[in-house]
Amino acid sequence: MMTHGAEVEIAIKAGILLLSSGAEIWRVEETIHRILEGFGLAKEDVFVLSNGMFFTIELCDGQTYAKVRHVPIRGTKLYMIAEVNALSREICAGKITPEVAMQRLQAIEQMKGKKFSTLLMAACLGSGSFSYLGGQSIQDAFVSAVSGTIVFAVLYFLSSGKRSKMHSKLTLNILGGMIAIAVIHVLFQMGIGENRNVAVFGAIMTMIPGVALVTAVRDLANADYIAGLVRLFDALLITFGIAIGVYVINGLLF
Amino acid sequence: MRYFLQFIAAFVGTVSFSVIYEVQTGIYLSCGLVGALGWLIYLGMFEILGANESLAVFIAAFFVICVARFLGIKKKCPATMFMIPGIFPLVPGVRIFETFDAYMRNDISGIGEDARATTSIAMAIVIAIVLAFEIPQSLFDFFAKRKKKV
Repeated sequence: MMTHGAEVEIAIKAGILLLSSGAEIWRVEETIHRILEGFGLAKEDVFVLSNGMFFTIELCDGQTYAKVRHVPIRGTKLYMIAEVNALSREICAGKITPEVAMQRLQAIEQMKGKKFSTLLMAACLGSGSFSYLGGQSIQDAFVSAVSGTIVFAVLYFLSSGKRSKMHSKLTLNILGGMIAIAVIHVLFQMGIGENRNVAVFGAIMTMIPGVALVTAVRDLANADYIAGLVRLFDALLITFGIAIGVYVINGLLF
Repeated sequence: MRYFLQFIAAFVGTVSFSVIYEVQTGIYLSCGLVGALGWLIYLGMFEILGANESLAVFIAAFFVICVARFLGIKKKCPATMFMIPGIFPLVPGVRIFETFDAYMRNDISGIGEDARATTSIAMAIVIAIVLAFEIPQSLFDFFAKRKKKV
């Protein structure tokens, strides 16, 4: 049916991978454009939102091909952005055929993230050291590290694999905030820790949507207002959830 | 000594967050260095030179993003990889939290004070991001290539 179906599919798939791993809008648009250009097709029109995209292209035989895709907002995987970026550079340079490119894209999609143990250790160290930056107290850093690790483990368990669609983001983050403050409270009762706010901050650091915020700002700065606002709102809702969780428990205890 | 400890903490924190955000292996150390240097610049401006807090954050964030763009060219991957973890220590996390805290304690003047500080720091970061991306790419290309030859 299509003379250039495979190339177009590659471009769309690359765009979707980028978008779902948290890339900026202009990067998605530009990558699609570059890939198609690399394959010698350039009459496309793309409209990307942060959770979907519209795509049409005029092919050599005069037919127009259109596609609409919904891309749910998911967790950030920066390595995917780097991998797709590297692939699109190679396509631009004309180094690889469409078949190879498709295989590479599928391989990138299947790539496994870090192991749970590695992530857990990172969460522990990250929470601890950010707490130390905020308050310069080893005790608070320790409290944050313990609480941050527990929060990260629980949220990871609840949002990975089959359970990924069962819970809303808001609930998960409220729960995370509750666990964080509860653990901190227990440790403070045992006499460890100095500044409660600093300890809480360190513990919830792993839940804070840093990438989403930075990406939202860059989208807004590039005048992609709709996409930027959607991401910004996503990030704010997460922060709001954490704050609610923390204060539900605080309200019960004090 | 205090600055050394802060440097280490910022380094470890940035590396940890680049692991959590799944930056590809092989650039963790550069990510960590970017973040730690940015934090040191902030501390130096704020505590030693006595600059305004937002100004200190602005300059540190600007530095972080410029280095990130430079590294992005050198290592042939998007600058975002270095920028996001690197900017993390500067995000006014404790301040955001204190704003919520004041809100819950019904401390009206506290809300104003903390919210003002939070938004001005956040704005400083935003402006730094926007401005640093206005610098033409060719400038970074030029420096990245020149360094390679040396």
